[in-house]
Amino acid sequence: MIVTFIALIVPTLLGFMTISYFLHEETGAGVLERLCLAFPLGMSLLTVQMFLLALMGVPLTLWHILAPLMLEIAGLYLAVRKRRKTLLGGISFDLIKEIIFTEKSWIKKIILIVITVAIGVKLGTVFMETYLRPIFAWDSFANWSASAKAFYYSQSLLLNVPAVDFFGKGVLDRNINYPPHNPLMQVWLSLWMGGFDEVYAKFWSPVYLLCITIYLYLVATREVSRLVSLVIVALFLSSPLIAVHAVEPYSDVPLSAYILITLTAFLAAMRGRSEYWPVLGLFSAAALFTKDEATFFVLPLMLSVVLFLWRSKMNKSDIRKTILSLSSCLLLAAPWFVFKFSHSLGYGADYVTFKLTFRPEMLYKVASLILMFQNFNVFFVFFPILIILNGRPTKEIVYLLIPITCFAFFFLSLYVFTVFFSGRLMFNTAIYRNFLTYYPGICLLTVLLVKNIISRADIPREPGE
Amino acid sequence: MEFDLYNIFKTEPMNGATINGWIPIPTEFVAALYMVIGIVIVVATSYFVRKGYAFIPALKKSMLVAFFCSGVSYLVYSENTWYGWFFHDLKTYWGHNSEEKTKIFGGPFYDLITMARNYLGDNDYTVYSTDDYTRLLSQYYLLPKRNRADAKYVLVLYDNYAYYDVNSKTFIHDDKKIENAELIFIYDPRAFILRIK
Repeated sequence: MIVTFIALIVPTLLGFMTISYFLHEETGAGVLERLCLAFPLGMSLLTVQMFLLALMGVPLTLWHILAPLMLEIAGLYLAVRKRRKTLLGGISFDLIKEIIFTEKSWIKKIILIVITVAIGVKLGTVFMETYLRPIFAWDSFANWSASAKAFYYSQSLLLNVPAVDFFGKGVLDRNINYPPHNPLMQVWLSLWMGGFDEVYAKFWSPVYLLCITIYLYLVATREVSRLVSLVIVALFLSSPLIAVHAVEPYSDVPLSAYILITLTAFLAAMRGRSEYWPVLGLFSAAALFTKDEATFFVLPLMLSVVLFLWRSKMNKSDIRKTILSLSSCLLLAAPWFVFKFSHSLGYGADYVTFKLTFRPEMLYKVASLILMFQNFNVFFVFFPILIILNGRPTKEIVYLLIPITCFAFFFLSLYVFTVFFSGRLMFNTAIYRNFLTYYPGICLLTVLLVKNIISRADIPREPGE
Repeated sequence: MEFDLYNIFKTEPMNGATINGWIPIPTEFVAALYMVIGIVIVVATSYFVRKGYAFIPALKKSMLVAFFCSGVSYLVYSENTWYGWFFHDLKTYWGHNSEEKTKIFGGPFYDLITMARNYLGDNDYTVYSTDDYTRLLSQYYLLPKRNRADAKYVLVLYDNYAYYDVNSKTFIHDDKKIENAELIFIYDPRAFILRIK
């Protein structure tokens, strides 16, 4: 258990130093917030490096990976110190302060305590469940863990092998088109444990959920009251599907974390905190290295960024600087795409066919599944209602809605226009997994909509009006 | 299950199987949730109008109240299933190490794979199984040994089209016929390992 903890802490340190370097002028991002960003970022930086090492033919042993990592952590630490920034600073305990000192109403105090405890217990049980169960879902071991085992035992990505085994092709039904972020995280944990462990190899998964939950709460508290933020986070966590996926080594929860963080980084950048542009680039790249479909989120996101910059009052030199910082961070995903295209790897599972059809009735099916409240609490049912109630949306909401809407429409087009997705047994799985990837993003947008609706509707009419 | 509102009180814990990627919720609960939404909207709108809000702002606020009320109702229901599953797993897996947990999860099949692993040594194998899940799970547990066509060892796991003749030492699967196949391990008549000489 301690070894697993260390294996999770090392990339968190790398991520923390990196995020502290980029957010050096940022005063709004406290230690907790940077820690929430640190783990997902550190994990991506780590796996990209493992991927590069493997491409260079360096055996994937603990020391080969750890040595450059420690140098980077030390280098980043010095760089942060050189900028005279305090790394840890004062950690604020605003929620506890509010419960003990600020809040006068006992009822509200009790509600705050109950919700906080409920969220803590839920997260605790997700971690416990991860500890209790070995890897159990066939698609998690077939798609991800089998590759992890094969890479771990060969100490490589199986690149210098006969064609039939290339990149683990012959291992189970591995899809070599998939980005290797997930298997490499399992390899990293296994290297620390000295063997592939069916329980501990997947312990990164609940940490992603922990980061999403706390980050969503911290971002929400900047928009709405602490009580509303806590309730929304509790509702978010009540999704049984996200809990199940956070227990298993699936890639959907990591991708949902990256999507949430890119949206919040974009939001912060739109509000003039330019330090968030490179953060947006880094997390977009991390998303691209996690799942194939992330491309169809990142492309419209970049389109939205371009639209924002085009319509903003920034001068040309600032726009150039912004684009440069964002795109240079996006390069983190470049090695994967160079590898992918140079080896003619496709998109999605290799058994998926792209034979076209037209089945508009799929839209009805998707709507009926969502209207039945399956898996995602009431968020997806209320989201369109809240958009209508919100009236004329703010520019922020429009720019954030563009990538999410395009992403959702991309999936809908797959269901309606392809034979494979419209006709297979796995249809429900596909729908719910796809929704899962932008579920935290929808929760963030719900927070913004709730804030707007409250502020616009909170004016009682004058007597006699 | 026939439609009956009483059924919303008979929730079952989620089973964690992800083949359908979702946790089914009874129609009764969905109906109850829509009723909660409807009632809250009506009651809250009337309340806000009486408090001096115009109808549209009152409706907007009541929608928010409905969102939170129905959300909390869902939460209570959903967490009930989650904790049901959690406590079940707590009883099943607590106190065991990773290998034992995998053994509990895999059941007799995992025992079979553990034995097969010993017989295979460092060699690769060819697996035959009609059931995809059995085939995938066996390959997964046997890693880094690999399933390859024409391997020296043949692993038969409940395959409907596999036949082995002990007397002639011949293994037949569809059109494929392998002679000089020695039976080295038999778990039950439909699960065994052969070594090709």
